[in-house]
Amino acid sequence: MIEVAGSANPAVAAVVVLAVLAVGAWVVAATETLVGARVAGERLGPVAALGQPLARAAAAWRRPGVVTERPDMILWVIAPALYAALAATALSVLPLGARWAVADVRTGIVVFGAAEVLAMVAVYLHGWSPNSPFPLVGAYRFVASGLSFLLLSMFVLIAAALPAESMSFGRILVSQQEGTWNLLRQPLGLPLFLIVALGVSFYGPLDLPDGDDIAGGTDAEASGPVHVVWQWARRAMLATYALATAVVFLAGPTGPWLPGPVWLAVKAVAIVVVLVWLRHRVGRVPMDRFVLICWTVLLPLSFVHLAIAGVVTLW
Amino acid sequence: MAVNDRPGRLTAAAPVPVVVARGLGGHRDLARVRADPGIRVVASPRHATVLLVVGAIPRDHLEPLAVLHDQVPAPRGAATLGLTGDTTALGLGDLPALPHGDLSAALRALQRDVLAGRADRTALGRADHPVDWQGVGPHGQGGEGMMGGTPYGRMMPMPPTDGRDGLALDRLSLRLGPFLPGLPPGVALDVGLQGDVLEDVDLVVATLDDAPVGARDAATDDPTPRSLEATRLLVALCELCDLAGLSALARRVARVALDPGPAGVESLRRRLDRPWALRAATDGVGVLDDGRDVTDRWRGWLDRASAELDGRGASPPRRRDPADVAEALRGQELGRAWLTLCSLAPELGPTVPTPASAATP
Repeated sequence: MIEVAGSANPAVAAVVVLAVLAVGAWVVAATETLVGARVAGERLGPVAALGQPLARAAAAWRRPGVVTERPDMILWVIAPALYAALAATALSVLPLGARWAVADVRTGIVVFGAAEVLAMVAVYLHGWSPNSPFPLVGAYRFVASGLSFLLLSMFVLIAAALPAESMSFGRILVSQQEGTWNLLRQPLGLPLFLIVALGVSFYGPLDLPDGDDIAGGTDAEASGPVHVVWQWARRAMLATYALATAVVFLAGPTGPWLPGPVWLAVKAVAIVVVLVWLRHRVGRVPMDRFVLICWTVLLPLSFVHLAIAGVVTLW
Repeated sequence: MAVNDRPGRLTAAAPVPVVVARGLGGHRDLARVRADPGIRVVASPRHATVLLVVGAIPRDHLEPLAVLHDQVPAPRGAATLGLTGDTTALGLGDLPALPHGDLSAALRALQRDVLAGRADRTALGRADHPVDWQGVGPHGQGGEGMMGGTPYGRMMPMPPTDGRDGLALDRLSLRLGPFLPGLPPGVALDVGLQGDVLEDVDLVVATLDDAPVGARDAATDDPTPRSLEATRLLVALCELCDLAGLSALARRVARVALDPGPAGVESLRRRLDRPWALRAATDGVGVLDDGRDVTDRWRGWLDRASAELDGRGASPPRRRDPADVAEALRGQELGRAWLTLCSLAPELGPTVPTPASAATP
């Protein structure tokens, strides 16, 4: 069984969650810089790639915030914090060690699902609050695409819960330690879940709400700390999804010789590399086409996935 | 001083965020900016430290340029690259011209001065309120009821004339551009926006009755006009890649654009012409009356660039009537419309040789 260690001391839990989010976002940003340099055909060492995101954040942090005409200042400040808090909530229910989670609640996938649905509110507020057209269009885009891809997440997570006979991520992990990895039992789940990961963090080919075609979208008017926190929170969300993918499909912290958290980190970084590679190689999918593919291809596929998972579990 | 220098050293490792005001010409200059890993061309002026003017700015666009200048949060820097003549005519005061040597080093020095408070530029006041609040109507905004009117010169949303897919959103009238990423140089858009759908579009092409500010002879841009044409097309491809979210590939394209060769063009084709590369963004988007989509157009750029470099000579690019383009954009989603416009960059915009006839309403 999974120990619920974090609940014993909330301060420890908070520090662990914030540290994982901070380091996770840093790893995503550094991978982005490194893979970007490779795709661009430039020489860049790993040390420089690790330093560059910090330097960029430090430079952007010192820029002043912008006040647009009649913005909703309170919501503008709250939105990035809310989005980051949702990433933290989602992270808190994931097992981070072989027998350790911050809060391995029995309804883990419900908490995770609630966090990703509420991300829609955070992104919408970020786009709505500057009182400017492009951010608002970005906000529309996230709601329209979110309604389409968030259902996939639920079916994928429910399928993973079937062999575990529990909605807790800890039990999903244990079911893989006792049986085989969900990657093999439920082969459609991983790609479907990665699409959700790109969608919720609006990253790479699914960077619809913050795309350059609408001058940065929901973030177009943001500058200074709000801008930095927003960009950090997106990457923290992506890191959370990489960790969730590692737990749900690759048996997370399970592996020989090395300690559990190291195995989890190795698997999560591998997934981050895949996501970042997609970000640098695949162009942004047109909004309407993505919605169409979601409803006509991916959603039926997730039904099939759920059916396969059910049959395999019973068999 | 020591307190100021520590963060200065840290930020020196970051690429300088630059917003580019792109004028006419200056393709090689833009390629240099785009290819430099020490410079990050950002989509929104809010994310920039430095405003960089590249290419000659039509006189119609001096006012929007001043607005763009003010939209860069203060303390801000500004500079020109490759402009000739008296750049104070841009209306931004004294502008340093970037040297032809190490661009990112010069920009980094400028950024350091700006962040240390040694080189701030005061706002010109144009981004604030273009006109006064108009005290007409029941709420003083100059419209009917609580709708409409143009307080501070900004059009308020009005109820739509007809709904889009059963969903009626207020119609917002806006001028977009001319300095938005992906827009062909010298072009702005008057749109009626319903949500993210362009209900109404008008292309506003700059007039060249007066010579644009900072213009120079195209021949001095590059000694060989042939490779200049290839550079021009590859810079358009670079902008398209960046617009589609492929910023790293855009830097690669820009490097080829700086020194175009047949091998470089073929390597770009291999990387971009795949269903899961640039084509994920452009396939089936922006089909115009000739039945060609955005993918067909950028493939055409690569073909023409190869032909130019092989010395085969390609047919000159056709010119599009802005009214036809506007017609094709009507009813499109904003993202699709933007990719379409970007893919028409070599075929749109004011024509330089015959300024008088280039004036289009």
